[in-house]
Amino acid sequence: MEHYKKPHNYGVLKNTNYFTTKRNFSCGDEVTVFLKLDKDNRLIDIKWNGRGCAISTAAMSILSDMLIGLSKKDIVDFDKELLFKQLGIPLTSARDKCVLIGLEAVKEAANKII
Amino acid sequence: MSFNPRLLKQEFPIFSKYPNLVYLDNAATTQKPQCVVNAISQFYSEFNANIHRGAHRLGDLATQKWEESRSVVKKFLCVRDADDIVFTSGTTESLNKIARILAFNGLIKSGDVVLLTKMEHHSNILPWLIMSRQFGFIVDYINISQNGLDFEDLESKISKYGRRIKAVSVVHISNVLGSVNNIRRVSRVFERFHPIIIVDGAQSLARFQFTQNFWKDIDFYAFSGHKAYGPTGVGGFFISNRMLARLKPVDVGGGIVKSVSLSGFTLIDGVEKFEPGTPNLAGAVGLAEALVWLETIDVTSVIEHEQSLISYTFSKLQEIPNLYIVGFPESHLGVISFTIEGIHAHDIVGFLNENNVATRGGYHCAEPLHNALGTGGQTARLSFGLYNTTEDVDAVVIALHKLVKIFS
Repeated sequence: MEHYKKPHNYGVLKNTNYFTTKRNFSCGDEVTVFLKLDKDNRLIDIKWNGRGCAISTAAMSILSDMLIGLSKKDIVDFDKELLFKQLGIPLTSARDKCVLIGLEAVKEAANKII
Repeated sequence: MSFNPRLLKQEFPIFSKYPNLVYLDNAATTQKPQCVVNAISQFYSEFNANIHRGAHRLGDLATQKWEESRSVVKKFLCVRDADDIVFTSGTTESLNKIARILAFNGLIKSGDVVLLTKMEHHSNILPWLIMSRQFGFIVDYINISQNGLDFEDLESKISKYGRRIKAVSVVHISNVLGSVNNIRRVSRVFERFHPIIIVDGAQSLARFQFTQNFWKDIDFYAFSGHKAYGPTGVGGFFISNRMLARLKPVDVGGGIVKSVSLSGFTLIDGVEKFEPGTPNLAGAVGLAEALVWLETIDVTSVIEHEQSLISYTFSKLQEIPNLYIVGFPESHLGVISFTIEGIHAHDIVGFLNENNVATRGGYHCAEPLHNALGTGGQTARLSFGLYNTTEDVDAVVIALHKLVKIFS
């Protein structure tokens, strides 16, 4: 609940071309992520915003902390099970997409990196 | 014997497996009584063979069971002998089939209009949109007002389009709002001409007392067995005599032809022409069993029970701060959808699930309706069945109090 009430890295990054918006069409949830990488393609900053349930908000908040310092390749290959483990709460399969909407957005944004 | 939901609940094996389950997702699918499970098992154990074509006793028995099932559905719905029932896999297939049959038979052409309402779920929108793209007809939507369907808007659409309106397809009971649409009133607005009237009955099969009068102006009525205590994968549609005589099938195959040559074929007459291939025989038998079972309970008692539960739920939900019930105050049958300010619908239903309460949240396959209502898709839905009790509602209210506290 803490990550939901006070999500980490919530906001906008203005000086980056690496951003993506993802929408969950079944519930209208939406998340936009912004990535900033250094010259070695390591993530030095991430911001995100949007609207979503407590699970998607907390998952995106936790994920944003986990990604700092990772390379583009590490982000693209990021194992979703690590996120589920870090979230640490039992979920029904219908809510997997709540957890994963942010990760999908991050991977899509990372794939734009040349 | 008086209606007793607690006793009836004992007939449902799923509640023996999960004794603490509060099941309030009946608009999605109802649970199945043991007699339905037994009927399906018995069909495969004692009657299984293909219908119509078998030159053996078992084939005759299976055909007999199949046609008996059709008769049971007709009797349950109070359908006249001249009209008939086509079996399908359920409401969605029925509505797809009806839209295709009407378009391919030339009853809805380029420039014609099909009227839907903004209350429809996706199964009564998408088939018409797909056909409209192929055949060039227009799909337009009757607005909703504070109290349900906006009949003034319907009249203005009749003024606008006139006789170009060839079909009107309306949901009987909304799966989001629980409101019951007066189909007779809809059809009677058309004074000078009579478009084809189609009714989406997904939610009404087990929640409406059908009479012969109901069918007077209706040409098609689509339904699902699994929302009426029957099995999944079986349902059908009512078809009026005038449509049955006039229309040719769009799906063809074995079982619906008198003769076939390499260059043509001759179709059989009657309702079977819409049922090519091997249908869901055991499903139809299970559906018939469910309807016979419902008749022994008395559908009127089921409706009264669900209405009293809805009233109770209405009053109890008032206790929850910032909870808003979606829909029209005068008309809620079987379903209550609501929002809680500041709490996402998925968090509501997720928390209820943690408290053994099965409900549903989101668009409920009716995104345009949610857009019209301005809910943003954030509704949670409680939908009732004949086995639900006030204790089930109390379990919801206790959980919602806890939830609101956590999110405050």
